[in-house]
Amino acid sequence: MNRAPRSTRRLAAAGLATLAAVGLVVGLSGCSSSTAPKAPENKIAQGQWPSYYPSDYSKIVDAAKKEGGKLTIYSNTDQENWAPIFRDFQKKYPFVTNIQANNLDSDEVFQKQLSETATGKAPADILVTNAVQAWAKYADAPDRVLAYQSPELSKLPDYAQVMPNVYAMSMDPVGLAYNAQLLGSEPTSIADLAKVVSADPAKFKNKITTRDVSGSFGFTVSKGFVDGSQDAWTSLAKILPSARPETSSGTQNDKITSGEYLAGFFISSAVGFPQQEKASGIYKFVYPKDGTVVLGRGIGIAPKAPEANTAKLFLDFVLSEEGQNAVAEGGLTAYRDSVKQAPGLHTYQEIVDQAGEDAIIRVPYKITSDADVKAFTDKWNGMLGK
Amino acid sequence: MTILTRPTEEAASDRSQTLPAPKYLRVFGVGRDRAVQWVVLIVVALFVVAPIVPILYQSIRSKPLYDSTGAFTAESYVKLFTEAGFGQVILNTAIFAILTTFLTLVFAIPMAILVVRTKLPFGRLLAGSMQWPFFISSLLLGFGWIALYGPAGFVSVEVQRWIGFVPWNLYSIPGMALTEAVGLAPIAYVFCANALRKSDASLESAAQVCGSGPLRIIFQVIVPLLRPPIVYASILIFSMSIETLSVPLLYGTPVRIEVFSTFLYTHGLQSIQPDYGILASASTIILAVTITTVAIQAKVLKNSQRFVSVRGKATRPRRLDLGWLKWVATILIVIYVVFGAALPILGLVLRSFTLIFTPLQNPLQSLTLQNYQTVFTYQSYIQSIWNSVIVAVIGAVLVSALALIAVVVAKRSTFRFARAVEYLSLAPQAIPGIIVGIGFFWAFALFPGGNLIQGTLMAIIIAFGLRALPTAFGSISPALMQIAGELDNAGRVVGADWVGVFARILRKLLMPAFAGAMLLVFVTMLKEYSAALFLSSANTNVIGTTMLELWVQGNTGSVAALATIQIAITAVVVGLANLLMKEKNDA
Repeated sequence: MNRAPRSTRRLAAAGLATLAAVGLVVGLSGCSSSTAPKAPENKIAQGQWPSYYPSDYSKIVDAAKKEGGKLTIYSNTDQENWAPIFRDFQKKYPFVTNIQANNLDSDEVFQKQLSETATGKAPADILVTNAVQAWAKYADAPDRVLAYQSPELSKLPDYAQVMPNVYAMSMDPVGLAYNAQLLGSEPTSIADLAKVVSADPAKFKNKITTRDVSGSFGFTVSKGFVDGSQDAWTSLAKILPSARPETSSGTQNDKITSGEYLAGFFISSAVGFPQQEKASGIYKFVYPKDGTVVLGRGIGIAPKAPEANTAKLFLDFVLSEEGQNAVAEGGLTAYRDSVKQAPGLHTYQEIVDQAGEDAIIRVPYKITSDADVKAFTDKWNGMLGK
Repeated sequence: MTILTRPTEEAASDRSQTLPAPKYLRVFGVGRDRAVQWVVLIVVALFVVAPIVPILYQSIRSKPLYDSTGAFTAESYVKLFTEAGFGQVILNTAIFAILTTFLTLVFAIPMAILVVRTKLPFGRLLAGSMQWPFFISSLLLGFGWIALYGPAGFVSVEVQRWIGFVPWNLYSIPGMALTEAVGLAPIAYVFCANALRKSDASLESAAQVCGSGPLRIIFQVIVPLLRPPIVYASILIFSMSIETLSVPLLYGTPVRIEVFSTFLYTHGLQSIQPDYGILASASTIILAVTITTVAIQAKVLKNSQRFVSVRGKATRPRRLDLGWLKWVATILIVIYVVFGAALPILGLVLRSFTLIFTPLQNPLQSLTLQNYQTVFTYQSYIQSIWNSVIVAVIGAVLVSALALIAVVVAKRSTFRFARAVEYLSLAPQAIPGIIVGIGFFWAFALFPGGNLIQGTLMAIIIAFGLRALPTAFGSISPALMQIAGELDNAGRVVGADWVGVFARILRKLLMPAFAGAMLLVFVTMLKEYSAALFLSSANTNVIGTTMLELWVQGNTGSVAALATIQIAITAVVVGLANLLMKEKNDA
């Protein structure tokens, strides 16, 4: 007799607890306020395009309407970076109702696309990644990217086209970050950091973080820096023996903030600036004056894109002024001259202003040979501290 | 005349040999016993072979499978063994796996014995908290441990202030093994505790009658009875630590300690030149290693008859009284639970409510809900939570059911391929998650009708299910081995066939083990992610893959938030399950 009510009570209690927990989380998440600075509103002209577009551009739009308003993107780009871009693209072309973008590892984007193409079921319309080497190798074979000349090209700087039919969606820099409470100095270049480290090697033993060069992002930015900065190896020879490699900017940031590392370099600005805001007074992010590596985030249309026309509209949009504003709002770095820097909006011009035109190292979309990759990674890893 | 009489003669001779068996359905002239057994064999075989064949094939191809210009070659194997440092990788992996297994058993066995067989203050509470780490993935446990015990962890910083230095180094093989052992100990604990709950207390009473004290009973009666679950758990944990990725990735990468899994990860997914040949040949070698360990397991457990201790006779286990020792035990367990699991998990939860987490600043200064806001703002993050829950629920039911039948076929049938069923069910331990993902990806592409599954949640369920099968099998199997065959025989005597014995007798006795397996599979599948890296499409992400995305992008706060949500879901499910099971036991 006793059992049934007891079990009911227990169940009810558990159920209530669950409800309360869910309610708490949902409720709290709704009312909290964001500390990130708000970008100015991006005005979108719905269904209109600039006068320099070809006169028959509306044909692409009509063809896109017939594709069902779907778009699938394979990228190594975060949902938060995409969000304003999708929002504004859908404002411009409201018939596009379903955009899916997954966030894969940079090389994986191509592995997945290649294997799916081979199996005959490749849903991707657009490929986006900043893995330079991977893009270059992927597009090295014929028919890997749809041939498409964007009408925006004439309004963009010459580096906007990174390879035939592959464009830069953003120009994202990597920088230097340090723990402002513990480092005891304010380096503005890798050479500065080298000076600080060589003055007191014992203090910096295992206290510097760099990117693991066996991953493609780490390799690209490290090789880019060495190729583009004159005294790179001199500085690195002083720093690397104290350094430990990490595989993500997230870990680098966390450990610099916690004090496990005093400084680190080749950290993505998309991650660095938000961290500086969150951990003000502890974490500082700068563009090194002796070489700031900037990676074009390559965007191209898949050769057999199921929604090829929608993909063309999207590509043109991200390169347009409206699109570049949205790109910047999402935390990536816009590079169109007309996009103005604002709180929360980062632009290429800002890097030029802070680090100097000469400091900018744009990484070319070129294949590095296997032998060169091995030579570089061996040399780099050989210098790292044990 | 002769024609008329022959049938009756035959019937008469039949009756003289056996009792008349009830009529059961025969398919193609095969009894339903055999039909069921064949179906299980085929399902398990397909399940296991599907991802392995593409891997073996890949290991001897010169180019990725999608590239039709590839040729047959042994180059991958040559490269694997000539590549500088691979010997070191094998050595590191061996030390890590052995140390992890050893530590796991050191934590789990005494704990199980103390909790189940002795009178321990707060025993039930301690037992519950002992199992926490299992409910979160070791990726999260690793994050928590680093935040506390890493070179700049909260605890490390405090210790440094008191004594001037930090007496441990988390970024080392022992550090990795210790964290992993805390994460895996619950598996060994559950295996041992289940076996102990079932075992026959009359043996202990007998020892007591002969004048043995509690310690002597523990070491000479209880521990020897634990051999089957210990062997099962060790093999499972050994294989799991060979293929575990997260802790070696978090601790080992910065100090360049490479083990098998990080080797696969860096040379596979994270590499400038992803070499699937290397990936596949390395996996083939892991497969060989694990098949060997399973073979050893089979040999050790050959005389499993010796461990039968649940017989057709009811007993109620009595608990031993340890005297003052019970307080020592309790304190040790509390220290283990608090420092091993509670503090790191608490740290993780706290992390999810703060903007930044550093010993340089009081975390309470930057309290926020922004991390949760991020998670609940984006449709794809919310969807990944739902996907995980759906995958885990459906998977738990299907995988546990398959494992249950497979165990009965493997251990309690005259089926010619009973052994094969067991080997196949345990084989997936040998295949790293990433490889399972790639293998199934190809399997779906190659097998007819596979592209209907590709890119759907079903694909994820199948891949995660395969990964969870050994866990389910391993948790049901010891329970069955402790049920004496005389119960089956009794069933046979009253006319049940093999299916009947299972359906009417074993099913009921195995119910607790089955429920336990479902819970284990649910939790395993909720936290699994590596197999999904290759299989998930934009709308079939799971919590794990989303966490990895967020982690790589530097949103560690949101990673902690998702982790907290995952822990909350698990806690609710496990809590409800415990309540329901308790009701059953009461009744």
